[in-house]
Amino acid sequence: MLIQGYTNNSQDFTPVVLAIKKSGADVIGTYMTNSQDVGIFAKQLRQLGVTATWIGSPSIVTDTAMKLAGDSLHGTYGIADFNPDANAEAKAYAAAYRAKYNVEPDVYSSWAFDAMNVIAQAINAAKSEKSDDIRKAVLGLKNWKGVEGNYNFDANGDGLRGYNIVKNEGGKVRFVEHISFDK
Amino acid sequence: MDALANNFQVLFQGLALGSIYALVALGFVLIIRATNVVNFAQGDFAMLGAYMMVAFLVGVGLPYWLSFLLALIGMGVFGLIFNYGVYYPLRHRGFLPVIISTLGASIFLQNTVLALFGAQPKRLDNVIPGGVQIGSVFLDSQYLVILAVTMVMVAFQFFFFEHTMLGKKLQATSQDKDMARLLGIPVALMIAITFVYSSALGGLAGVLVGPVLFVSIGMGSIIALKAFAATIIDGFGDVKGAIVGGLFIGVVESFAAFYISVPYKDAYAFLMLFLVLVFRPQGFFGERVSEKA
Repeated sequence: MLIQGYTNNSQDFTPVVLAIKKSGADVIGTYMTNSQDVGIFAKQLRQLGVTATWIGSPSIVTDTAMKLAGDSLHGTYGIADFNPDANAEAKAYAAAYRAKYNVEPDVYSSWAFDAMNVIAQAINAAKSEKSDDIRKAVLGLKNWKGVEGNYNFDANGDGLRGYNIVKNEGGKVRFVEHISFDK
Repeated sequence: MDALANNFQVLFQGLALGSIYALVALGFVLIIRATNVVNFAQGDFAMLGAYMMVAFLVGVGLPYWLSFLLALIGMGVFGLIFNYGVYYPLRHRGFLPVIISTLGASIFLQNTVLALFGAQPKRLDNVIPGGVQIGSVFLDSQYLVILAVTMVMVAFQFFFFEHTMLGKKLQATSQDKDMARLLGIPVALMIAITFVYSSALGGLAGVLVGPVLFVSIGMGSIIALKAFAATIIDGFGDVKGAIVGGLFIGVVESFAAFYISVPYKDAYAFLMLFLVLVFRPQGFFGERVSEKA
């Protein structure tokens, strides 16, 4: 196993790609935050002839990364917080989002959408504007259906325990399966 | 054989990115020589040039070369506006107000572009699609274009400053403004021309690097930091040094990233800057330390 680091806004991933190439890895797993970095890495990875299966963090299926990298990202897998085909709520949200903004919804919008709804729900339920009351109401939300999945808040404030596995097929994100960490 | 190929690949990437640093550093140096001021918006010239390219090529849908030409002309005009808006009104106030004015211009430019184009980075395609495959080494066509254009620009630079009357007038202005004025050289016009040229040069760097780094609001700042280090390493105000300094930083950071550590890639430029300041404060080529200090 080979582990490589980089800093955000790297302009050149050649050293990383050459190290991957030398290792002969079968699978590449990435955690990258900036869509631009994903784009540059994807281009250089494929240019230098690395064809290993690539599974990326949510940024790999963001609208920006896919637009920038184009076919360099085709065939890659992503672990996505949000996918329009993951559940009925996501499907309805995606349709409404596309109609309004004419952009493919991704984690950056769904994330804020769910957060806002959770807070609104909690404020309504608590009938209070005090932070402790709202927090209690948030933690009390059980089986609340958001667009990123079912929220069951635990004592630590973690609402979601699951991810979608998706695949970039010719520039379209296809839903593969939802993995839940709940029992 | 494999090691050789890898080293060549790293050298190639380093030279190409170094060329971009060199082009931006050249803009820095020309303005430093003409006005004794560091233009902190130099990186944003590159960003603005790249966005102009996106606007003409993708937005309006003009052919590549026409968009390219319009972006360079646009940047030239912008340089003129920059001269009269940012530098000229403060020219008798010493260097600090001008530096702060360029910083303000940098913030203004980034936010104006953000308001006009949005936060999503834009994609520019290579001038010539694809690249050249030699064994296991891949030479991206855009990097080849960057290297070629930089070489042409360097040659042009030497020709222009050493062999044309306008170039000599610009040199005279940068060396001694009072003397130049006494000889009948319109100093204010020469400085305006310097801004126009530096702005177009920065824009050119941005257009060239757009397909490689993608076009984003922050692209200029990243390049400018390295170019600024190159400017200091080479002796703060030396044209030949700006080019060598830019290439040097590009190549050293590439090799250091490959052999030592990738996450520290951005630190190497500043480590070199530090070493040069400690051991050779006049820079690689500088000898006029008393004059420029």
